[in-house]
Amino acid sequence: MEQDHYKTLGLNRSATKEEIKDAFRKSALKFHPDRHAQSSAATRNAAATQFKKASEAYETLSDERKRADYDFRWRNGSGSSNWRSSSSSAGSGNYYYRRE
Amino acid sequence: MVQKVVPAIGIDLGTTYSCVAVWEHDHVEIITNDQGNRTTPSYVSFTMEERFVGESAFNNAAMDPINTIYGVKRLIGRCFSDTSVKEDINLWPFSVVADANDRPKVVVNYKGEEKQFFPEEISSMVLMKMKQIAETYLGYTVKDAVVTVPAYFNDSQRRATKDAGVIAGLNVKRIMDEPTAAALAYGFHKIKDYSKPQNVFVFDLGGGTFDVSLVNVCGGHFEVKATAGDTHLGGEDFDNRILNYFVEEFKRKHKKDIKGNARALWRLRSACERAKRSLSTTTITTVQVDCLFDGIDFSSTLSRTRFDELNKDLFTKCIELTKQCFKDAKVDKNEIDIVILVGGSSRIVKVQQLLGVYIGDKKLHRDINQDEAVAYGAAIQAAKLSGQGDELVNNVVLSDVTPLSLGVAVDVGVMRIAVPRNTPVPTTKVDCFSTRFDNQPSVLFEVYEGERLQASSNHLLGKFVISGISPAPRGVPKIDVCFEIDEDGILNVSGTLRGSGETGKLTITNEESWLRKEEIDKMIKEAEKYKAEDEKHLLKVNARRKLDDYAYEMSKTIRKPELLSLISDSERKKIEDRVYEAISWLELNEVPTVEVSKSKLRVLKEICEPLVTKMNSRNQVDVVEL
Repeated sequence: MEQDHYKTLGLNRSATKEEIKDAFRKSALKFHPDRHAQSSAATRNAAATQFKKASEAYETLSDERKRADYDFRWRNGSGSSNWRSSSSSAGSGNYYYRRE
Repeated sequence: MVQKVVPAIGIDLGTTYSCVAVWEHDHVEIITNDQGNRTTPSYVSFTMEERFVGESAFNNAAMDPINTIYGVKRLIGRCFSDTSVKEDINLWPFSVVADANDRPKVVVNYKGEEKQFFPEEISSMVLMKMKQIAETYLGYTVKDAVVTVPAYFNDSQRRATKDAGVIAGLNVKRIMDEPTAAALAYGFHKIKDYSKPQNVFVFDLGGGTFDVSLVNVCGGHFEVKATAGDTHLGGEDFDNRILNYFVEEFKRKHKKDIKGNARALWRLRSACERAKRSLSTTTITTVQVDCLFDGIDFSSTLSRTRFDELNKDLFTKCIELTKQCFKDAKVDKNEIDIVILVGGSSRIVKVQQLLGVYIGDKKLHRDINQDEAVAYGAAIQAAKLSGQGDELVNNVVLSDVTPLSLGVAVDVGVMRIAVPRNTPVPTTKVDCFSTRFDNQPSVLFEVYEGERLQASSNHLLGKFVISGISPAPRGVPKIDVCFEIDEDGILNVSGTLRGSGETGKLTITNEESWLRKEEIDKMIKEAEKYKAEDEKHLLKVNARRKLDDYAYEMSKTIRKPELLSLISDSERKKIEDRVYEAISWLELNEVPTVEVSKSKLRVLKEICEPLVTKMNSRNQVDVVEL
C-alpha cells in the first residue's frame, strides 16, 4: 500500500535532515517532468510519477512530526494495509458525504 | 528551404505593461517593440477605423478613454459579481457588463458598432501583439510560448490565461509563476557560485498584482518553499488613491466634481501616475493638468509623505503577506540570504524601507531589471522546454507549488483539504470518501479552492456526481477522489467508486467563469478576423501613403526653377492643379480603399510622368556635361 519513502529517496532510516534534502534535490533534478520535456510521453509520465513519489516522500520526511508518525506506522505494520484504518485521519470513515 | 528550429518565447503578460524575451545565441534577449521600448502597454483601443494594441492604444487612451481597454488582468478568471470587479468598474472609464453566466465582458464601440469582449479576448490581443513583436525581431513565425501569471492566481485565472494564449494562436507550453521566473532570472547568473543552498525571497509588486515567493536555490534546483500574495494589489491601486485625493481637492477648490467625465479622469490619473513615479526619486512633486474640467487648470503638489500616508494600509499589507510567506515556508527571516525586488512598484521608497526594516536593508538586491526579470526567466524556461538552451539551462529544474489549498465540501459544508497550499507541483493526491447515510445511492462532490474552513466561503471550482452506489450501510462504499495538478498549476479531479468502475469527473458547469470549447473556437476565428482586418487596414494605410508621398514629391518638383525651361506655364499650372486636387482629396479621406488610392496614384502618375522623364533626362545631360 504505502510506499517506502526511504527507499524512494535511496536513504537509510537514520538519514539526517540534510541528507533527506540532498536526496530530494537529486531526484528532482533527475525526474522533474521538465527535464524530460523532449522525451516521449511514456518516459515523461514515468518521470512525473517518480517525481511525485519523491516529493511525497520529501514532504513526509522533511517534517519531523510527520516523519515520526510515518516511522511509527512503518514499525507497527511494516507498511501493510492496517495502518490506514488505524491512524490515517485522511482515510475513510471520518468523512461522510451528504446525500445529494 | 532549411526548416529553422523556431524558439519558444517567454511572455510576461502584465496588468499595465507586458514584456517579451527569447533565448538566442546562449543568452536571453529582451525584444524591443516597434517604438524601441522594452515593455509594451497592455492596452487595446478601438476606433471608428481600426484597432490599436500596445503603444498606439496607450496613446489613444487620452483621446478616447471609453474605448480603450486596460487592466483586464484584474478581470480575467473572475466573476462579474466579485467585489473587486465591482470596485474596479467604478474606476475604469470603459464599461463592463455581465453575460448570462455572470462572466464580465468589456463594451466598446468599434467601427461604429457596439462590441463586447471577454477579458480572455482582450488579453489574447495583447499576447498576439507580443508574439508579433517577437516575430518581427526573429524574422519567422512563433508558435510556442511560456506565459507568466501571478503566483497567487487561482485555477480559473490560470485557465483563463491559458485560453487567452490559445485564442492568440499560441501553443502555451507552460503557465509559469511570475516570482519563480524572476528567481530563475536572478539565480541563473549567480548559479555558478552557488555551492550551498540559499534562500531567495522574491518581492514582486507590479501594476496590478502582488506576489511573494520564497525560493530555495541549490545548484540548478529552484525549489519554491511557499508563496503568498494578493491578485488585486499594485501600482493601479496606488494611482487610484492619489486620484481620489485630487478629485476631492478639486471639489473643495472649485466646487466641481470631475467624476463622470472620463477624459478628465483619465488625464488626471495619468498625471497622478507620473507623480507617483517621480516620488521614487524626489520627495515632492507637482501635479498639473491644463484645462482639466470646465476650462479650469489644475495644479497641486504631492509630497512623498502624503503619498505614503494615502497608501499606508496597502504597504502594510505587503509586509503582512511577506510574514505569512515566511511562516508557511517555516523559514525565519534571519535565514533569508537575498531579497530580490521585482515589478515597477517595488521602486516605491516606503515599500523598500518597510521591507528593509523587517528583513535587513543589506539583503535587498536592486541589481536586476525590475521590469524585465519575469520575461527573462520565462525565456529561460521556454528555451528549456523546447530543448533550445545550453547545458546550464537544461540543468535547471524548477519545483513550483500550488498557491491555494484544494479540497471538497464534506459533512455540513466543511472544507476537507486534499491538497494543502504550497504543495509541490506536479502532484497527485488521492483521498477516500464514503456515504453519510444508509443506502445512499449517489454522492455529490463540490471542489473548492481557498483557505477558509467553511467551504462555501472559498471559491467553487466545479461539481461532479458519483451515482449507482449499491445499497449499503453508511461508511461502507468507498470512493477514491484523485486530485491531479499539472506543471501549469491546473487541476483535474476525478472520482472512482471502488469495485464498480463507476467514475465521475469534475465538470465545468455554466456557473463557472471559464470559457467552453465552442466559445474558444469562435474566439479564435474572431481573433483571426480582427487580425485580418488590421492587416487590411494596414494595406489601405500603405496605399494611401504611397499616393500621399507621390503627391507631396510632385508638389515640390513642380515648383523647381529648372522646370521653367522645360514646360510652358499653362502646362505647369495644369499639373499643379491636379497635384493639389489629390492632396486636398487625401485630407478629406483618411482611410480610402486600396483600389481608390491605387487608381488615383495611377492617374496622377500618368499626368506627372512626362514631366519626371523630362527632368531626369535633363539631369542626365547635366551629369554628362560634368
